[in-house]
Amino acid sequence: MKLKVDSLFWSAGGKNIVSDASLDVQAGEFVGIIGPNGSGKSSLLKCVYRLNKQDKGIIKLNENNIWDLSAKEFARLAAAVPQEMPGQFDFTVREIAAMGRYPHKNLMDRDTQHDNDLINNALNYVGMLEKSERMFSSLSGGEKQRTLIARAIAQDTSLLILDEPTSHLDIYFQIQIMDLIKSLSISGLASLVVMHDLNLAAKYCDKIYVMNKGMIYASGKPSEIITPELISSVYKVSAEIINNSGSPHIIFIGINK
Amino acid sequence: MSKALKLIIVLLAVVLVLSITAGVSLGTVSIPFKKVWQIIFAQILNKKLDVPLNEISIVWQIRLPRVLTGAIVGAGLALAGTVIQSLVRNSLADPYLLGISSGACTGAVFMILFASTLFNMALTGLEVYFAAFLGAVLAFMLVFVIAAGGTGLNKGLNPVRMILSGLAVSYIFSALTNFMVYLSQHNGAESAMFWMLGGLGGARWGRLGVPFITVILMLIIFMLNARNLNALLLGDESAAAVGVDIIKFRRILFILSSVLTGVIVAVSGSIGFVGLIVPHAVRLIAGADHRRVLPIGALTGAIFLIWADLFSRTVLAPRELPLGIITGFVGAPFFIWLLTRNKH
Repeated sequence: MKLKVDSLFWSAGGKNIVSDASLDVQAGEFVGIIGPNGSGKSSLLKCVYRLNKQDKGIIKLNENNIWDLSAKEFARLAAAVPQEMPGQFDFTVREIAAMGRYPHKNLMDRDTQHDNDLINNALNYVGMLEKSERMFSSLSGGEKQRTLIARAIAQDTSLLILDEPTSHLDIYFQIQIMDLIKSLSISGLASLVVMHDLNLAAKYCDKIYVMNKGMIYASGKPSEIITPELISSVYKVSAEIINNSGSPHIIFIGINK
Repeated sequence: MSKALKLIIVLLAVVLVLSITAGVSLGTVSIPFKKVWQIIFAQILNKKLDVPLNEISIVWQIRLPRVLTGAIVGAGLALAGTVIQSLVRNSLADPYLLGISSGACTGAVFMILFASTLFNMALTGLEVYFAAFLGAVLAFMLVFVIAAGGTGLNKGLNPVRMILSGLAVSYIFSALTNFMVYLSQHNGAESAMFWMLGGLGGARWGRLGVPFITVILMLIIFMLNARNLNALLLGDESAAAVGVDIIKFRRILFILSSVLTGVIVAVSGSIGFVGLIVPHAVRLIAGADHRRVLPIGALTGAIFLIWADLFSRTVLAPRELPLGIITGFVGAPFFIWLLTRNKH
């Protein structure tokens, strides 16, 4: 598995949102994208999971241009967990997870035992198997997020794309979700994750891309790129970095004077 | 298909057959259930039967086509409502949201009030249906162009834009219809009201074929796309994530649901509320999965409309209430009951 984004441009309403962004993700890698609000992280991610079509540049998944694949073919190779939470129409946990099997199904196909096994495994993996008949809307934030990740696991792909999977979650669930994604990448999945929390990103990511004003500002290992200078120039915040058993830990001091 | 679903469908099918029987049997002249089926079988098998001719004609010529039309229209409205709710991702959407019925009304009313004098022809009824369908197509094209316009055709149909363009087009056509009714002054208002409130009084054997085939065909197409319809309910991002080509799929859904609505409105006028409450009620009880909602909804819609129509022609007999009034009176309180029941 290899994802390669090459000088990507995407604009909306005449405004450049993503400018000349390039990145790549290999099998087994946990890659984070960080950056301030409005820096284009989510927009870039939406181009990667084929929701938005870029204006310029190319995205290749295993040497295929993703827009040469059909939506279905793409979804068999890459699973995405968007930020959007399913709303007013109520499905059970199991029905949501089962949607991960949709791209593998043709119009006439029925659900097979193989599908059921994959759905059960995915729910079991995220610890939602006992709650599989619960209504999605009745779940807590952490449970909802785990259900959506179960859907992505059931999709049985080699690339996982997640847009701020820990937003609105308590610290317990934040760590739970990150551990979950980490264990998936250790088992060989590639993951590309937009993240808000810099300390979580520093702790979990193998590689980080920092976005600012639509461009990739810096990239590399967390210990190499998370510096007071970077945080000051990208986030306009002064900070100290301490070493937390190998990964950098940020202590914020205040807004830049 | 799960066992429970099969059981429910078989049960509803039995209720549908019973409802059809009741619909044909009851009325100003009541005909016993057994006799109803004797007459129907005798007609189908072309046999002689020792029954008064007027009873045969009530059953075979008047009531049966009407009841069957009701079943088809009810099923079609439920299907169209379900799909349009998924299309615009809003459980308060109904088949008329996209302006189709207003267009149909305008077409029909124009034909009834003006075309006969303009083109100097006698109306046989069929051209009114045709005009209704043309009006529906015109409204559909307008909504489609407006909804797709601002964002550029390749960026897809946005649900909010679809709803707003539908509303705008509805208002234009309603104003046109009302203007024509106002201009006509003489006896036009009543026939115009039929289209606006809906009814099955125009049902004939010869007008059954097109809606029947359309409804069955759409049911099959929608069922085959049930997974995509489910995914669309979650939102564009999630639908794209599980491999739905949302731009293409929305366009196809828009066209199919418009054709379905147009065909139905052309035979029955715009009967309100069925397309809103039936899918909604079915979802509350059976969950959101379209593999259940579509077949259960179609059967429930058919049954509901047969009873509503029976009520409309018996409650003030010999006068006939427009069906839209009944579905509103019966549907709205039922809907409120469902909502309050579901709170806890």
